[in-house]
Parts: sequence; structure tokens; C-alpha cells
Amino acid sequence: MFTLKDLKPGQKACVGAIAVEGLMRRKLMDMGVTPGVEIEVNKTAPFGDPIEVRLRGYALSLRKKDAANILMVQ
Amino acid sequence: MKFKVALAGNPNSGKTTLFNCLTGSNLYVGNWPGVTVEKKEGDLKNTSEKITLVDLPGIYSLAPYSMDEIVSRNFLLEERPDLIINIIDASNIERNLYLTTQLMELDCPMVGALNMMDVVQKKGVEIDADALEKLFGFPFVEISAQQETGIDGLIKMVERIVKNDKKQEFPKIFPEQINEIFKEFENLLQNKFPNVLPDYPRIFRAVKLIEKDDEVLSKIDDCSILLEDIEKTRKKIEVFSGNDVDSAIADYRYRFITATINLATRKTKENAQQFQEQLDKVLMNRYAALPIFFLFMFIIYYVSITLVGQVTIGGITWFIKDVLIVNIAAGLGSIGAADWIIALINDGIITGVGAVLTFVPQLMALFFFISILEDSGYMARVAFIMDRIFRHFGLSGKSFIPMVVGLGCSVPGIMATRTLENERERKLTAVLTPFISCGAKMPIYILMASVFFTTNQTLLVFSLYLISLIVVFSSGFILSKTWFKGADSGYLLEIPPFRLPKMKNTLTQVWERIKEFLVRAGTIIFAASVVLWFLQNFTLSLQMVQSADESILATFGKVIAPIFAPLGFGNWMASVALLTGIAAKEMIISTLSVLTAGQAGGLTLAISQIFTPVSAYSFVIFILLASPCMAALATMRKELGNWRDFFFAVAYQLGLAYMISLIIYQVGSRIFI
Repeated sequence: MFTLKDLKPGQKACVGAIAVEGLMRRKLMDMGVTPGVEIEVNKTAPFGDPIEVRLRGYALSLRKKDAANILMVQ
Repeated sequence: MKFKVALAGNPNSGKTTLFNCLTGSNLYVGNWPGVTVEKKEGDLKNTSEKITLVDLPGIYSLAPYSMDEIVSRNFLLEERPDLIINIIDASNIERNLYLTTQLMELDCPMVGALNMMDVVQKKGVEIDADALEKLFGFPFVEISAQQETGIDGLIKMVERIVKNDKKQEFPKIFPEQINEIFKEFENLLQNKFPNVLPDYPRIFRAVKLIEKDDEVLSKIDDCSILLEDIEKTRKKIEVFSGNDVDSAIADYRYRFITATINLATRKTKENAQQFQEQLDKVLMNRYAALPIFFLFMFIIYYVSITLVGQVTIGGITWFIKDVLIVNIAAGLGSIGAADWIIALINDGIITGVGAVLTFVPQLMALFFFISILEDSGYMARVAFIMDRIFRHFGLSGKSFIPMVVGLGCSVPGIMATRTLENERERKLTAVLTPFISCGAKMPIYILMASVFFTTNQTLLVFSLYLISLIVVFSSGFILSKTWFKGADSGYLLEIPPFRLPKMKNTLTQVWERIKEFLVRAGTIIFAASVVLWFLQNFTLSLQMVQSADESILATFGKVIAPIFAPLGFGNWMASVALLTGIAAKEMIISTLSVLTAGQAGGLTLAISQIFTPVSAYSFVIFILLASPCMAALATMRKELGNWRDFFFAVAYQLGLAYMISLIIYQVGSRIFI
């Protein structure tokens, strides 16, 4: 099992599940992070966090701590 | 009949640009999510109908997270517009249509405005608007708000739909079984709970209750029995979908969208976005990102302060002093005007207002650069770069945007904090934003620099901005652990593509900001200059003064001056200038000009007598950090929402300014005697 945080820039995988409750979960869903969607990591911020990912044709940035709650499947 | 039309869409989808196109207004536009934080109204132009257009803050969904998003949702739910123009960034169509699927549940006629079609065409994508209409049940119009194409077609479409009462039929988004479950729940609500939010649109009410939306639940008095039924319904959805309710509902919406996009869009050539990627690689480079940011800021201040200043200040000062004042004195003298009238006009009004107007070209340059930064998409990237740093100081990368806006004026800066979801971070950012020097404070820095620090003007001003950054960070660190304690919110920020700023847009924004500055010069500063002149030229017994030291103002100034003596500016003129600065920060420089008018050598000489280099630096630091002007204070009060936080903030800002100036003067005056 790996998470979005484990992906390196240029790598992609599909979302398996979102392992966080509450507001963050809903917001991620609204932003299109739903089970099955393909996410590619674009880059890491200069100071190592947050990361920028690409999904559904747009770029989204999120912190590694939240990326660690997004479980991925190949 | 007057129609009400709402403009709704995702953040940064171009709503305000379209609003300006449709109404002929000049509202503030930028390229980051969350530029519009309040709803704005205007009349639709080029139409024979009476149609009011309402520009709403951008939303990603109808589940509201931040204050500005709640404004949008409440408007759509409670004011029931006659039509929703759903603006869709067609270059990011998939995510944008997610909101569309929710708006369709509001039971309100809709038009889809597919914006940024010029970008879409460049990307090599074709969108079939007719196919979208068939799939979504309402018409779509292709436009580009920035290029102003397709606008007439959109206006015609709006006219047609508001006059037509034929109801639009929206398709079912969810699978049949899920629709059955919704329907069952709706029937149950009708029969068992007829009093629960009867005015809400049916499907919206059912979906939001099933989602256990906090805002909706809070509007129901006693929902314990209802909650049981909600749980049962949720169970059914979970069993059918094999997923939890939130995921299931979001997933079904996106599935519907993916299916429609596959039918209605076509890729004609491979994506040619290499320039964007190259630019990103350089600007967000691991080592270069921060230096590049500071380089940009330095260039901006160097060009607007030093370069533009060298060209313009001399000419304007010459015009005011040697042309205007001399000719007015001669002209009024020749028609026999009294000396005091000439003095009032020259030493009061022209000197006071002129002191502010001298800096208009420099402010124009500053606003020009800030506007370009805002339109280009660089701001969201800096927020992304800065998040890691800001987080250590109890803020989020998103706090950065209000602060850059605050470089122009603290009022919109403080208002921009509404896009922060977390209340603690929002309030903290609102209290810290005034520490970022606004444009109106710049003239006093330039004046002091030109008198005392001639060789290093840009450097001096830049040092002030560095100090304000240090103060922001250290205050954030301290306050987030004391007064504004609490958990941090998540950070989730869309990074928009780079866009070439459109010159027309940039110039309009520069003009709007300068106009505000000019209006203040013509009103507050004009009036205050007159009052100041009287207070300075009359004694308490209302006699014309022999020397300025006997005036009402001097008497009053001398009372408060001792407060500032430990900071190095216990001169009554400096104290009075600080007080008038509460009305508007430009007043500080106007006040000093009016008070020293008529003295040989003028303002520059007078300043060099009142201040030493160290006390001048201490003076500008105090102005930089002390509480902002009345307008900004009122905005801060509004955004903080209570007096307790407000008084704390003002006390903190004043106390900190006093302390730092005190240290600078006491230490500095011992080092550089």
C-alpha cells in the first residue's frame, strides 16, 4: 500500500481511498480527488513541501501531510 | 419587470472579467482563486430588458467552507435569481462542471458560459456546445471574457431565457437506484417532516440532508428523529455503491461529467504547453525560487521609487512651487485678495494636496507592477512556495496573497483574508496584513530617504519592507501561540496557469486605484489641509499667530509630543502629523508640508532640522508598524467580527510600533551620534 506522498515528481497512480475524515475529505472530493481518478505529481515546492499534482486537467497543491492520507493503487 | 441574474462559477474562472464585460464596470480582477470576496451588482448593458447582474465569489461546490463561499451559496438559495449564468473555465472543464452538477439541483434556469475558449483552442481542444446542451439540458455559449468574444451571444441568450417561462429539464446525474433512494427520502420528508426547510429546492434539500451538511442541519430546530432517517438512507447508498456517502455522491457526479466530456470534447492536436512548463521550472526552481521572488520585489521598488521618482518628482515640485504658487500669489494679489486668503490657498491647500500628488507617478508604477503580478498567476505560485515557511509562523501559504494585495492598500488586503477557511488563520492574517506597508505610506519613506539617505534610497525603502516581513513572521509566531491559538486548517490551493496580463485590464486597475487616491486627495486631504492651516495660524484666542509656536495646533501638539520624545520625534509637528495620519496615511506628508510652509528652505530643510537620520528612521518605522488608517481599521473591525479582538489588535500594533521605534532610536542614537 502506498500513498500520494510516496510518488515522485513525474510518477502517476490512481486514487484508491481517502483516509481522512471531516472537512479535508469533502474538500478533496470537491476538488476531484475521488476513488479511481489518476493523479500525477508535478513538483515539490522549493522547501520540500507542499507538492503540486495534476488531475482532471488542472494543477492542485496540497501539503504532504494530507497527501499521506490519500491511498493510491497502480 | 426587473430580472435578477447571478454569475456563479469556480474561483478564478473569470467571473469578474465577464461581469465587467457585461456591465461595463471596472471591478478588481486577478489571477488567483478568490479575488472576489463579496457579491457585487451591476446592470446588464446592451439589452432592452431590465436585468441586474450579481457577481458572486467563486465556489468549488455548494458545500461552503469559507466566508466568501457562504455568501455565494446563501444568495443562490435565499434570493432565488431568475437565471444563473454558470461560468465555466473551459480550459479546466472537468473540475468546473462539478459545480454545474450541483447548481442544476437548485431548480433555477441556467446558461453555461464556456469561458477562455481562446486558451482551449490554443491547447488544441474542440468543445461541442450543442452536445453539451443536449447532455445537460440547458444552453452553453462559447466566450472569452478577456478577449471579449461571444459576449453579445451570451447577452441574447440571457434575454431569451429570462423572458421564456418554459422550464428547463435537467437530466438525472445519479444512477437509477440512487435516484430511487433520493426519491424515497424526498417523499419521507414531504410526509413526515413537512416543516423542514420547505422553501429549499427539493433535490438540493434531499442531497444536502443526506450529506449531513452542517449549514443545512443547523437551520433545523430538532433533527434527532430526522437524523435517524438520514442514517438509514445513507446506509442504503453505502450498500449500493460500496463506498461511503461522501465519496459515492462526489464520484457519481464526476462519472457523469467524465462521460459527457468524452462525448462533447475532442482533442485535435497534441498539447503545446511547453512554455508554461519551462517558465514554471525556472520560477519555482528549488534554489532560485526565493531569490527570484525577492529580485522581482526589489526591481519593482527600484523602478517605481528610484527610477520613476528621479524623472518625475523634480518636475512636479517645480511646477507646484515655482509655477502654481507663484502665479496664484501674483494673480490673487493683483485682484486685491487678502493676504490670509492667499496663504490659505498656497500654504494650506496647494501645499497639503500637492505634497500627496507629487507621488502619483511613483504610485502608478507600483500599482502597475502589482497588477501584473496579480494577473499573471505568479501569486498562487508564491503562496505555494511560501506555505512551508508561513506554516511555521501559524499561517498558511494562502495568507501571503492578502499581504501582497496589502502592498497596494490594506483595505482590500484585509478583505482578501476571507478566502482563508480557518477562522484562526483568517483573523491572524487580518491583524498582520496592516504591517505590510501600503502604497499611501510610501511618500513619507521617499521623503525621508531623499533628505537623509540620498545615496541608498531604494535600499532604505527595501529595508523597511524586510522589517515588516520580519515583524509579520515573528508576530505570527507569537500570536498563533497566544491570542490566536488553535489548530491549523488544511491547505489546498489550485495553481492557475500563467496568463499574459492584458494591458487594458492592467491599466484599468491602475487607474481605479489611482482614482481612489486622487479622490482622497481632493476630499479628506483637501479639507484636512484647510483645517490644519487654520489651527496652525490662529491662537487659542482666535488671533492670527505671530509665530507658529503659539498656534492652537502647536499648543495641542506640545501636549502629546512628550509621548514620542523617547522615540526621537518629540517635536510637536511630527506628533501632529502622526495624529492626522490616522485619517489617511498620505496626510502625514501633507501635514508636515503645511506646517513647514512659508519657512525658508521649505519642507526638506525643515525636515532636516526636526529630525536626525536616526530619529527619521525611527519615525518611518513607527509609521510602518503602527495601526493603519481609519478605513483599514474599520475593515479590520468588520473582518475580526468582535471588539475584543479588535482592541487587542490595535493595542498590539501600537505597542509593537512604539517598542521597536524606541529600541531603534535609543540604540541608534548611541551608535551614530
